[in-house]
Amino acid sequence: MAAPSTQAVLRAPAEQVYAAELASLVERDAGARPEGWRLSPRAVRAFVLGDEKAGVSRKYYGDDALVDRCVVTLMSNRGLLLVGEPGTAKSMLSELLTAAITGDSTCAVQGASGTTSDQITYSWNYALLLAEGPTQRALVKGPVYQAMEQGRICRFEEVTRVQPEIQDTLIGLMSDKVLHVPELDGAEATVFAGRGFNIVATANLRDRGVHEMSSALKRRFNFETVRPIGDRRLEARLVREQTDALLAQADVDTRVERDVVELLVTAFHDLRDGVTPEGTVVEKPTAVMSSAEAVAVAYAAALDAHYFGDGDVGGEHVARQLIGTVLKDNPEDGTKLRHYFDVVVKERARRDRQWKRVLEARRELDR
Amino acid sequence: MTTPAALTSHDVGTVASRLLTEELVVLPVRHHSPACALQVERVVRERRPSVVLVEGPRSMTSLVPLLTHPEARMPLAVYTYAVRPPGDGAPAGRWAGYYPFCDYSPELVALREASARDVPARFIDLDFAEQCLVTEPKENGSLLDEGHYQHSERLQALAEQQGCRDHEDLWEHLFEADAGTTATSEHIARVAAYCLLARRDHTPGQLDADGTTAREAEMAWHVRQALAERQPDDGPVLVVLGGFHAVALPALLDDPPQRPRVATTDVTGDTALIRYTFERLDRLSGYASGMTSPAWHQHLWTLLTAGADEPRATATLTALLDITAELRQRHRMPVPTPAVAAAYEQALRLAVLRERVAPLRSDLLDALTSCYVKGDVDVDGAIVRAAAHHVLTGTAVGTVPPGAGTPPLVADATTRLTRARLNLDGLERRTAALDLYRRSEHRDTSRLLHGLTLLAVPFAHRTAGPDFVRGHGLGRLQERWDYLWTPATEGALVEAAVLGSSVPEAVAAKFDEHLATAREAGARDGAREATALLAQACVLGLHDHAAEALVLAREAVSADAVFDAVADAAVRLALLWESREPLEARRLSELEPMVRTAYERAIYLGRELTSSQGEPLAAAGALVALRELLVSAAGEGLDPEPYWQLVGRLADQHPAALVRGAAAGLCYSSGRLGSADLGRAVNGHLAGTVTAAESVGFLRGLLMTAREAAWQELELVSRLDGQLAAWDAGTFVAHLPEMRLAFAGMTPAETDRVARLVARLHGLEELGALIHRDTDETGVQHHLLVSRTAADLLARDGLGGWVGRS
Repeated sequence: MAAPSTQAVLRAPAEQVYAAELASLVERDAGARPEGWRLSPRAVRAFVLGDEKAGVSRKYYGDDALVDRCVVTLMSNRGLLLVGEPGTAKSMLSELLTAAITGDSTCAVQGASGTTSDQITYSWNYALLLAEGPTQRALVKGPVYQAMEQGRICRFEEVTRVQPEIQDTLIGLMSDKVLHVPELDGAEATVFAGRGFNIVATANLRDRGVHEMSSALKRRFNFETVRPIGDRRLEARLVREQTDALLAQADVDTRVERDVVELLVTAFHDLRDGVTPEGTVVEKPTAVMSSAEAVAVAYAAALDAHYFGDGDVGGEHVARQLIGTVLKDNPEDGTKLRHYFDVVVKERARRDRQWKRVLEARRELDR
Repeated sequence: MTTPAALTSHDVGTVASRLLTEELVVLPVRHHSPACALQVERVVRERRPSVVLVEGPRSMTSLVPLLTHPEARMPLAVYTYAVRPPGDGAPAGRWAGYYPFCDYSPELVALREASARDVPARFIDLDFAEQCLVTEPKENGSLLDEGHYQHSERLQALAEQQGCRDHEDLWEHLFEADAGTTATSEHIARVAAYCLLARRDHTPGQLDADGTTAREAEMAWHVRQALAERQPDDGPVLVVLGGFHAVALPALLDDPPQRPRVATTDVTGDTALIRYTFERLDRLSGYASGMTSPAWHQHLWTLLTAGADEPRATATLTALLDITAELRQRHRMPVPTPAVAAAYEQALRLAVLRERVAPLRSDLLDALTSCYVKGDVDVDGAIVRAAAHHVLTGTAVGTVPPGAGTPPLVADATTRLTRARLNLDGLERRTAALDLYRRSEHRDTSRLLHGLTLLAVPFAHRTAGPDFVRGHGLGRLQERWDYLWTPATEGALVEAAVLGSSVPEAVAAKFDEHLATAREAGARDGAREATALLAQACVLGLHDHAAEALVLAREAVSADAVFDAVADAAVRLALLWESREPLEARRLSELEPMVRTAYERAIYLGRELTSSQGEPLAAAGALVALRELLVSAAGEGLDPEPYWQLVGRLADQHPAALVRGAAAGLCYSSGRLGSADLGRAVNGHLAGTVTAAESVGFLRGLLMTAREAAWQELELVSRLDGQLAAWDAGTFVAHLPEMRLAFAGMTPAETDRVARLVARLHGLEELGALIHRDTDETGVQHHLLVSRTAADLLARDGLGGWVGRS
């Protein structure tokens, strides 16, 4: 597939965005590579976790041991299943790993409740099928077929949203590493996976519209839980960096100040953990307060201040976006957020200028 | 504060070369490290030292023969305690600590090797009492100081750089992974570098404050003495001490500080060798006092000393198999065999990825997380983590060799129990019956047994008798206890030895702790708890402490705002006053005025009841309790008028019908309410439009306090009868549960009386027999069927236990 230039595309895949880093790693890589891999395991690890000497930035924050385990799992004969709450960078991690290992993170299946096995394994060009009968030319290879054929890693996003019967097509693929195409004859009817084939899947375990995985399928995967970032300072740094990157890409020169980012991250941690650092207990809203949401809020607040304000991002911009994040569909979340404003924010507003500005947005909640 | 210069290899070399010379070998170790233990073994074997000096309190030297006894089985611990009575300026102090030993402790290996070669060995650190006076000991009671490594920022940074989780992982990676394969000089240099890094993160001020400076001065003095006594042809002096201190030793030998003199004249204490368990070692080590996962290290030690090939890979596999077995058998979690193979492969590959020589414990735990957990690691992974922790910790229990002494508390307890004619040698539980009222020596025994219970020593269990603390069974004259002496008894007594060297002393100390907690909680605890504490003081025979408990109780009674709690407290105080004979609490003269205070406060709180909603049942119970108080011996001096005014008011105005009924019943039985008025009130409730609970609630309250009304007042029964007849089936069933509860307080004889009254209302002599023996077979079959159906229904709802089905 031809790669369009990064400028014209809304979000380029990781292997393009970090092409220079990958090239540098390939050059310096002296370790042994498993068959089908472009980099050695340590180089893949360095790509995700950063390596100052090679000029590679850190892309995943929080749990280095998790990345070790993911890399080792992908070398084994079991698949990798990243689970966790929404917004914990599971898809990002899956993308980074595939970009580093095979150089192509676009070989992916997006799971949804309407996904059929055609979209996973193979389908037909019906015109050719009717004209020529079942031939290789009429076959439309799905992502897993391609990955097996070429010995590469295939991504499978949101595997638990797929209907259980369709999920189970993966069982045979994962255990025997072979794909049957009964419509064809002879050698073409069986596709043996090349060395280096594996699947990286992601799943939200607790969400609406999510199905249970069968135990047979669970056995074929190593589960790795991706947790939200627990360290406030780390999360603040991450939010700041990512927001700056997004703003730069949108050609907006407003930047979010350090103290506003800290305020945002503190609010997120309070609502996520259910308790403030001072010890006040707050009700946790049902909306997921993930790091990705925090970045989105910061970005939106900056845009708000840039286009509708004077360019100075303050507590009130953050608060307005925060309200939109929390109030999704559960009316009780409104009560919880009001309680948070009345108890925690009011207390902090007495001491801090930015929190005072947050309190000004309180009246938005009463609408 | 200027940051010290970065550590160079020259610095390390300088220190390391001083640690390994012809005349002096200083082995820097970490406690419980198999790699260090191997080095100790090798050094003793190759260099044949003439004397072995080990880090540890000096007074433990007397225990060396016991520690190295062939019948001693690890894990064991030296338990030591020190007590200082309150003196001029200094508060009372009580400290206790444990010094654990395992087969893989470098210190123990040094002692054992020395003993096998007849080389003298001794401990050279400050005594425990001296250490306590020089610093604040840690709360967890461990005498092994590894906090320096945990708090070192440099080590933390090094750990992150090496891809290790924390300093323990780092140590395992750097030193344990290749245990046994490095030369002694290399090992010493590497450990020295590690410890010098940690040392640079601590200021001299910090080291003074935590006693390190004093301890190192003491140990340096001993090393100098040994060097001075050494003859030129003798083997070297071998010193085995914690690496953090070892790297400071060369400087201290060059420029010897004063030997510390700590005044310990009035401090008493003792040491004892006790059995220890891996589980307790793990808990102790949880505060970073050593390396956790004792069973893991023990297994590695066994493999290392046997010279096995690839010991760590073997240990990993064994641990995996053990964890799998535990998950399958104890937790009933299915683990397919391919998962085990996958986990083993994962552990080995992780070690390779992380550039380690061999798999470490963190690799094993990561492999388990990847391959065994099929879901969210916090939810589904908890069982796997628990099983892993259990297997890696292990269940080993040590054995103390014959000849080990016992702490004085144990001896004192044994003497007292034997004097009380209790048999400590039996293998079966025995019963002791104590006559509290007539025999003073039985009262002493009772106090002794209550005291042991307070100290949480598992020995005796009270099965019957008056419970003065809770106020039950006070009519009983005898107290019965079941008892049996087990090793757990001895262990618990040894642990409690920190509180005192005789049982009364220990009990008093423990009770002081309870008083202190109650004092801190302030009046929040409540009147009930405070009076219970007072009763307990009397039960334990701690009459001196009872005065303080009395003060607490008074405060609690004044502060408690709950009516039934204060009424309850008043009653308990009265009971205590009445039981002062068996409790020998005659000296508590303030009990009587306190009963009055509590009574008056209860009345005051009762007046607030009309506005607050509280528990009706509790309020009714409290009213009954207060009435009994007024008629008891302790309540003679109390003025009943305020009580009856309260009751009258509640009868009219309390929102809950149950309380109104109870108050009405009280008024009736004291003659303040006539039968006609009572009948009217009952009828008004029953005929009204309120809910079943309310209407029958009045009746229930009434029968709670004045059930004689049911058979004395024909009027009452006839109205009730008329009301029941007027209800339809549905209403009757709705009212049935409350009715049942209302009459539940009657004895069978009283129920019969009411039944006869009702029968007479209908012109019958009796209501008929409850048991009919003259049914025919179909009738019986039908009844059996109905019974079975009912039982099935109950069982389906999970209430099978009510009909005898489990």
